[in-house]
Amino acid sequence: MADERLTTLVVSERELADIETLLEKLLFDAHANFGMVLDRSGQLIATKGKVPQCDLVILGALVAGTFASARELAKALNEEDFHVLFQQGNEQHVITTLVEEQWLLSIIFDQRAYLGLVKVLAKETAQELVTILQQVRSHSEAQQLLAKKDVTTSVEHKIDALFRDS
Amino acid sequence: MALINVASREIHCKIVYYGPGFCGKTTNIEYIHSQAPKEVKGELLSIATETERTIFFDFLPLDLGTVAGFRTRFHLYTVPGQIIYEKTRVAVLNGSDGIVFVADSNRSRLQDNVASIKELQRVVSAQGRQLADLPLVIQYNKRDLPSALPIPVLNAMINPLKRSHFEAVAVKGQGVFDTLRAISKEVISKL
Repeated sequence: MADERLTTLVVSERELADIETLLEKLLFDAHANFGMVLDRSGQLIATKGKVPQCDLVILGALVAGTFASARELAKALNEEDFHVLFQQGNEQHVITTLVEEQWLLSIIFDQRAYLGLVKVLAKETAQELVTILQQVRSHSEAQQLLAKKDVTTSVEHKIDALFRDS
Repeated sequence: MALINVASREIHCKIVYYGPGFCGKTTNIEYIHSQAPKEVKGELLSIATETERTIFFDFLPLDLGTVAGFRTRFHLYTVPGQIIYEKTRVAVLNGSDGIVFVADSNRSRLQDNVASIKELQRVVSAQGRQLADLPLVIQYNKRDLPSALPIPVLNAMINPLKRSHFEAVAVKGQGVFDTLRAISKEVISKL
């Protein structure tokens, strides 16, 4: 079996809808403003709520980078892991939690929400996301999809056209 | 590890520029940002010290637009090159789909290059992967220096896996897009 860390993950429409439903419920129950599920490489999978006034692609890269950095700090301290990362601002706060070794769940909230409640609900949601992640891992739609669509060849042509001196 | 989002019809891939300090990783990204078509490039994010040395990473999202029904995005990252930031490099390498190793051709930097590629092998192994299995392209930068080592010497010391290599003068843009095209295609072919 291939190393799953080298295997392309394919999120189907049904799975994305399930993730969005979980996020929506979490935001409602926790009175949080914005939630996102992203791959540990920083790529966004799903977002819900009031979108922050910033570039979401950059937000994803920063959250993933910060979380990965915190995990190295944990190792340096001989701590098994930091499962949850909390960043406290004057008005907005961020909680990020790991979904197995693959995804991150990040929640942005303000004074309307209780930190403890957000933490508990984020943990519960992360556990539910594990089930969806396992479904995503179990199907091999990627290869069929790519073979059928001949995406690879088309992308290579586009790379040749766009990645050159202007 | 690439991500395909069927619902939003998107493909995401992460490419990391790795190499010793001052080898030109950030220069590569800055050149790409300056030359890539407006509709392709996103905002360039640099997390640097006051002296403009990379302390965490540089980040440049590239959006190829819709290809065969899928919106294809490449996220380019650099790592900080200074020796003390090894753990930060480990963090940035997380989840990468492909690596560009940027080597400094200057004769005096040979040992730094060798140390850096050995560290890369070690870090990738620690993440449960093997460098031989990963898309990897070598860029020999600063080819315009009088003290630049011959390519066969560099290949013998830095490129034992015999991966594709490109000569570059990143500050002038030479070889920058050749390198990017090569690693992008390798990553896509491994999807």
